[in-house]
Amino acid sequence: MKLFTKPKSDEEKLIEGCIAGKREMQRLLYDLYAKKMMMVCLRYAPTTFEAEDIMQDAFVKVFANIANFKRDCPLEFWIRRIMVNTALKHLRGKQLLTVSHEAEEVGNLSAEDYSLSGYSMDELLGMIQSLAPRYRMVFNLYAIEGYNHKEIGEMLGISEGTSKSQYSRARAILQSMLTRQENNYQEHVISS
Amino acid sequence: MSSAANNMRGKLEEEFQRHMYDAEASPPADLWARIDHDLTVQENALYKKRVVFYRQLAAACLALLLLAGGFAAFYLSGGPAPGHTIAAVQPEKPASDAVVERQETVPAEPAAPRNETSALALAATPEERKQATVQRAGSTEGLGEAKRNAAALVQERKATSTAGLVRMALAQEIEARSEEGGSVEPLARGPKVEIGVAMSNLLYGSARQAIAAVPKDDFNKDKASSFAASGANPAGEKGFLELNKQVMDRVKAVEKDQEEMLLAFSKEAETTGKKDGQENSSESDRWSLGMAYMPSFFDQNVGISGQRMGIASSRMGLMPSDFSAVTASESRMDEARKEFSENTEPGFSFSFEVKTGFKLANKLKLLAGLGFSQNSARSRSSYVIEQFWDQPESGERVSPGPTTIFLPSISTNFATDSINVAKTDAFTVNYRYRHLIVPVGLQYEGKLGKEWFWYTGGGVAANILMGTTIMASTADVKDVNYDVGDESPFRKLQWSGNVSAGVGKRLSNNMSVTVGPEFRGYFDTLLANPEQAQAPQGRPYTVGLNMGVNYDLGKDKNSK
Repeated sequence: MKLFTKPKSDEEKLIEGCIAGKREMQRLLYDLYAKKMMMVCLRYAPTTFEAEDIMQDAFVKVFANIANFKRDCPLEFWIRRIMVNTALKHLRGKQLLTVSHEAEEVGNLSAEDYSLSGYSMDELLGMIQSLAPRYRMVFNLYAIEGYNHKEIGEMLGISEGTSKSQYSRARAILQSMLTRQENNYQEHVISS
Repeated sequence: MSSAANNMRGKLEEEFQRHMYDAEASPPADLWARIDHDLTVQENALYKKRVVFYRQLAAACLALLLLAGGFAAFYLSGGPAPGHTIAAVQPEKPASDAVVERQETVPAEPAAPRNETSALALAATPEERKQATVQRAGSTEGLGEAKRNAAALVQERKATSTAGLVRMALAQEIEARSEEGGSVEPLARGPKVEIGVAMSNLLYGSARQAIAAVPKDDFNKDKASSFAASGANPAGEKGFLELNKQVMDRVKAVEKDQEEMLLAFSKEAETTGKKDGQENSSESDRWSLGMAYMPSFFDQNVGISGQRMGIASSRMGLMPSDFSAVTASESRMDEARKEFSENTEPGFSFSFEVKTGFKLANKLKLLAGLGFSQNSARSRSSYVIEQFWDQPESGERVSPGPTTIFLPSISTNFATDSINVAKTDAFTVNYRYRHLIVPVGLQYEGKLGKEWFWYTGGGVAANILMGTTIMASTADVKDVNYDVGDESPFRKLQWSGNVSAGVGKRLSNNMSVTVGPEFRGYFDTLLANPEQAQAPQGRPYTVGLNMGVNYDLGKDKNSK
């Protein structure tokens, strides 16, 4: 009978170990995804401390609910979704998802030809983290996670139109930041 | 991840996604330790929840068993027999003896007898001994006063000097050692201190522990005795000081330990208090209360003997003159039996139950409770039957009175010296059986929609016969009534099984109503001794419509 059973993959063994509550398997799973998920949390949280809290809560949820993982999507995606949802819940609990009217002035919205190759990861992360919470959420969900505005609207409890307008605002702010950085860089090159 | 609306995506989005989606950042080194701790706490909470669940289940089963056992015991003992109380059978005693007996059998505090002894032993003067003896004789009042004084002593505890504490503890030690074999001179002390000794186990547990911790070899009994006798022996004083120091050290150590434990406990309680509250609320969500009413059809399934009679009376003048007495009676008995079989039909039966539900799983519920049922059947009859027996000694003829075909037919002894069967106008006979029900069962529920659900269930029940009444609508036949303690041909403890199914509707978050058919079959016949009956007996059953109201305990689900 064993001849006809599909051999279990390492990931499957890992999942089963986690379902059984084996701590060493849970540790393995954590080690496997911790770095990627830390970045996810950093993108959503305003500070590193809050990102750590979000990641801690999210991993506890992962282990508590891994028996419900239906294998209809990659495990990484499932874990990422838990991270995102936990981050949203965390920020919602802190009332950080209210729209900020103190957003920066929107710069040139028409520029499209950007390359981010010259930016370090810290610079990019810093730009995203400097966005107001609601803009940061919408930008992360749309531009990086790939959700559409309807889905974002459902996740954040806003309308699709609001999601679109907030995204436009976030995008414009980022563009202006990038433009400013570019100008600063060019001025620095000319003066030197 | 849908990308249906990604038509707005431009270079900026692509660049950010390319750079950021798979980017990594190192988490802090202690993050896993924090997650590990959270997981451990969660596992412990789950374990605790399971323990609470099984404890509650065990408690529910125990309560049910006790309830059933209590009723069974009551039933088997036939209830309290009138005129046979303990007071009635016990010989009367003089009032003074009774008082003495009451005093001696007063359940004193565990330390009280020893305290009384110690009071006697510690009383230095004959007057004090006498006082202590008087205190013992007036036991109840003395103990009551001791308790009152003890309450006052609790207030005084903080003000009690260390020397006083040690002295009391030392006195106890002396007393204990004297009980072990050595004779110790009584130590003079005031009456308040005697009361203090009486309550010392309660108040000065730490001092007692401290004394117990001192090695006995260190204690010089002679020194202690002489110290106790003189009250100020220098050698004994030295020993006392050493002992005092040891005791005080030990007392301090014990108190420190207790303080640390208390501090640790309060911290733990503070940190886990919130989670405990959540768990408790989820545990209370498991319980529900329900009431059910079931009008039903009841088939008593009682068989009537087809046996022919032996003797019939020729004295009764109700028989036609052209028939012999035997033939006429036999003929009417047959007609009466036939009439009973053809005209017995269910009466209005009902049961009422109050149940507690305990959720074993998401959809599975354990139900237990208490109920009452009244099962009725009725028949139409046109015959009045009277049996007669001749008393061998007096030759007198006795009869239980006119009745219907029912009771003589289910009688375990059909023999009779003579019988009279008279035909009258048709009348109705009602048979009514009242049971106390102790049901236990399982119910499984499934969803039918947002508010509707279906259920199916089954269980068993102990049915304790509280009374049987056979009533006729004619004055010619006497009503028969068997109470719970009476001898009767009917089974007093009847077990039944039931199955039910139906639909329910949630009226609110906590309240729901159910309705559905229920079949209840009894495991035994109505008659207590069916093997001795003249005809085969069937098992009764009911078919009814169960209508229930259920209330889920616990907090409102909206607030979750």
